[in-house]
Amino acid sequence: MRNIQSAKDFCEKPGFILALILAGFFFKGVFITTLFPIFTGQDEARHYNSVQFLAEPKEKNWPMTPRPIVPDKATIADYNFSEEIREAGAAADFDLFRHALYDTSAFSDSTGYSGKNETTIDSLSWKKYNELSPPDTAGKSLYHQLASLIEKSLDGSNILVRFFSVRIFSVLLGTLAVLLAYLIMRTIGFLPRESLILTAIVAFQPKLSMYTTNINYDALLIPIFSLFTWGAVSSLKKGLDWKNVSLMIISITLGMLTKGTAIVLLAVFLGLVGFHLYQKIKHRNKFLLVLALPLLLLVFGFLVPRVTAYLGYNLVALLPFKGSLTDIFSSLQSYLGKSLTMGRFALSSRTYWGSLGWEDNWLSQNFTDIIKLIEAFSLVGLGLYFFSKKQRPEYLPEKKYVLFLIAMIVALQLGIRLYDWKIFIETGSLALGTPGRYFLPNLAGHIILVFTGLGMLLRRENYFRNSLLTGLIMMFSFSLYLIFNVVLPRYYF
Amino acid sequence: MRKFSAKNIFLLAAAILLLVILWKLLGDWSFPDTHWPIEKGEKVKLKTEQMIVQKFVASRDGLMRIKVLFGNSDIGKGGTLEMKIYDETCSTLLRDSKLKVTGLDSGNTEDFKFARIPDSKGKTFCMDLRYDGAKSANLFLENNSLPENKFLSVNGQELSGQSIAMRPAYQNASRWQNIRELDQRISQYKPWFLKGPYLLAIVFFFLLFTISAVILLIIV
Repeated sequence: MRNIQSAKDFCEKPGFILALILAGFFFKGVFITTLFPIFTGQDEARHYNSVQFLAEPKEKNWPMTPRPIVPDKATIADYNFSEEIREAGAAADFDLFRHALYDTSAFSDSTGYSGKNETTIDSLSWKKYNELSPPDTAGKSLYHQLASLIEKSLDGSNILVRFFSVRIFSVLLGTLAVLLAYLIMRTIGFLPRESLILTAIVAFQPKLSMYTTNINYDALLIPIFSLFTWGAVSSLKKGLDWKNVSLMIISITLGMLTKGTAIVLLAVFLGLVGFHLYQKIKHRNKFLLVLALPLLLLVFGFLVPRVTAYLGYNLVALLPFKGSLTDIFSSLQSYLGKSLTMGRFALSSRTYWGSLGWEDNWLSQNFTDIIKLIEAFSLVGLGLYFFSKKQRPEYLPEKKYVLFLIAMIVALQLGIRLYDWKIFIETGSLALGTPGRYFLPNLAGHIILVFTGLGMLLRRENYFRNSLLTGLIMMFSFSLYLIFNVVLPRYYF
Repeated sequence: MRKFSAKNIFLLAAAILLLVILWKLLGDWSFPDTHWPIEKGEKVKLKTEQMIVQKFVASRDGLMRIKVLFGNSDIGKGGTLEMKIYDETCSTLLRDSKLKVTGLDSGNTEDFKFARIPDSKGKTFCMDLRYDGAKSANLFLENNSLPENKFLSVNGQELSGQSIAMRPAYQNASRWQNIRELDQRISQYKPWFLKGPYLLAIVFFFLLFTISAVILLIIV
């Protein structure tokens, strides 16, 4: 009897439940990794080619064949990838299902667990280095460099082993993002149980799982954003100290070595440092405040461009402000006219939550509307949270955290849209766009904000808990629906 | 007492949603014959009072679904697609499947599901497809040299060597065989550690950990 009680006590411990959530997320990710055939992730063949490119010997003693990169590519053979990627992709029927939602791999009934061309793939007969110039790659980010270590360490294995091992590396990064989400929830003051439910909601968000099974630098960017957020909310809780400053500086550096989006973190960091400085000196001496301003300007104007240049970014070149004021406004007007449309918002929303365009049914058509309705209620709650005289319920985080999370969301939105505008100026079209996956780095903050708004409306702790459990069950079942009723049938039925 | 009943309601809701997902999965669980070509070939219109007749030989036992690729169709407020499966002589009706559609586009297939035909292997079936609604539904035709493709007529006109863009799908006699075949399909073009029993173990642990986490979060 005592044993049963102690087992029950153990199962109820937050650490155990967190371990279950993390293990569940990891195995879910590995399963999704398996469901998606080779190269079907976002630009995945290109990202994997970057990994292979970085894993090549430093001394490239093979002949390069010039072949211009063409815009419209009919098959994987048209890309300047390594021979192994082109041939393995074709052998695994990538060209069949690449664009056609209705087609699948040509399954072989006679070869059982092996595809009909797997023996050829296994024979390692294709060159796994880039011999077409220029190679079609997605850069040399930190993610690609880390993944290239896996690629090198599995040198003697076939491409399936190497490719899917790198995918599992992405799943591990996603699992880290979920762990950091929990740490963020705890730091900003949610109780352990509420933090666990919110973390589970993050873990069941389908797009997070799907995207962190891809070979793509965003798989590293997402935990880096979470690491920064954790450091930042820790600084809001305890003030700046070496731990949280280190966390933020490390995440900014790693982020900028991963993807340009992380420049947003630098801007938020500077704002946060400014806020802390202001808090320190506002009650002391106005003179100090006047001295602090030029110091901040010096940091902005001198130090930041140098640091970013060292990490490979030219901040001025990244900005879309070019030409006269009239030109800038005219270009902005044209950009906003094309990008701020209901259709584009809907597309961003659909691609933020999962593969909603794959099925034409009621749930696929209405899921984002249900979410919007919930978010509308939550916005009302957030309005009350900030502007009503009612006291904040104790189970909700303090205003400084909520304001910070809103600032993170605004900063990422602005950053992505500024870059989208820049590409619009250069190409004359919305070539980059704002797909929902770009906003996933702020997923934990987004979920916290939604439930903070609802919690403010509900006013009672048990109602708030019930809203969290409702959200959990919705996200859990939606996640399983997309896996078992959408993705699995799409590729295998 | 109130707290206890709220927990039960959440557990019940989670269980019902899981069952709905499982039920839908079981309904889809059949394996299309990927030898049949499914591409966007020549388009043909299917209007009310017209019909398409396709004869084909089932390659396996357990015929239970036909996937059909439709083209973008301006069908107004929608309509009903009806597929009837007859014997070889097109005289004895074996199965019937109706689909109410509000839109058709060329992005994905429509599934006509019916009760499993256990002894379908080697038999010739005569399938007729009709559309009842405003305007017309568009279908794609394929050049199809498969021996299983026996006959196609579109609105009374016979088209030899062609079929509609479709795939017959089959279900095995037992659940275990279905699980095994799905495991085999997913395993193809995957590394050894994501194949066969490893894959089954991954699914098992994924479901075990996630469902346990949800239950604990509800009841604790």
